[in-house]
Amino acid sequence: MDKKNLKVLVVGEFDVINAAVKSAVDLYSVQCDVMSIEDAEEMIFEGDYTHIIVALERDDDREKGMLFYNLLKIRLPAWQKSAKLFKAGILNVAADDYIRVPTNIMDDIATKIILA
Amino acid sequence: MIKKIIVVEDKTEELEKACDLVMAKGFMPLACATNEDAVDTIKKYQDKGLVGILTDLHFPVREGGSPEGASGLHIVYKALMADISVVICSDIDHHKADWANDLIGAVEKATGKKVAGFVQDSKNWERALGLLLNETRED
Repeated sequence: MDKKNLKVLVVGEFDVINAAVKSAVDLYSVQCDVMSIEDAEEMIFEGDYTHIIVALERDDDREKGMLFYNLLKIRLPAWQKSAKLFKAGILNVAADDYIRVPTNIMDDIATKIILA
Repeated sequence: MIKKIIVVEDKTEELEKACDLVMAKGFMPLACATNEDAVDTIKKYQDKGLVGILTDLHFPVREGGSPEGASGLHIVYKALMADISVVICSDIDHHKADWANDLIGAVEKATGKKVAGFVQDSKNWERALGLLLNETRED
């Protein structure tokens, strides 16, 4: 698919992860929106996203992201949407639908600069 | 705000059939395959454009579970308690549906509200949706 036709939505509850994923997508000059889980469904239903990345967050929020990812697996075909669905997280998972987010830089900035 | 209808059904083909009908009427279908999904979705959207619920009678409580219990009755209870119109759509044989009718009656008595419809013998989602929308218009 031509890059100009790509439209990515990043969905997640943790702003830092969302921003990190969006920054990475932006590097490729691909259109990218960011949305919280709470507001994402109407955007997806009415939108024309080609790819959706659901951020699985750390600790407690991870479950929320996973539940939403599982719901989208059911709802995307029900809405006749063909967007490819991905999970993104900080674990070292090698799967076609998993995007690994390196968090070392964020951890170091947080602990060594911001919280120091 | 987009008007929404929750559709609860564990069989993918039936779920998509029902959702197609809901979309054709101009609503956003919120597909659910388990009791957990349905309860969470009711909580999330009950004040955000939720028009009603179409539910199967037998579907799993949890992801990966089997549809042995009549989870639809739990959804009926949750819907009536939240004052949301609900229609049950099931292929249950109407000759063997007394237990379900009795339990629905008990739920209606407990909540003081009526189910908008109970389609039996075949999963006729079109009829179920019609009952739901007629009920909504009467409100």
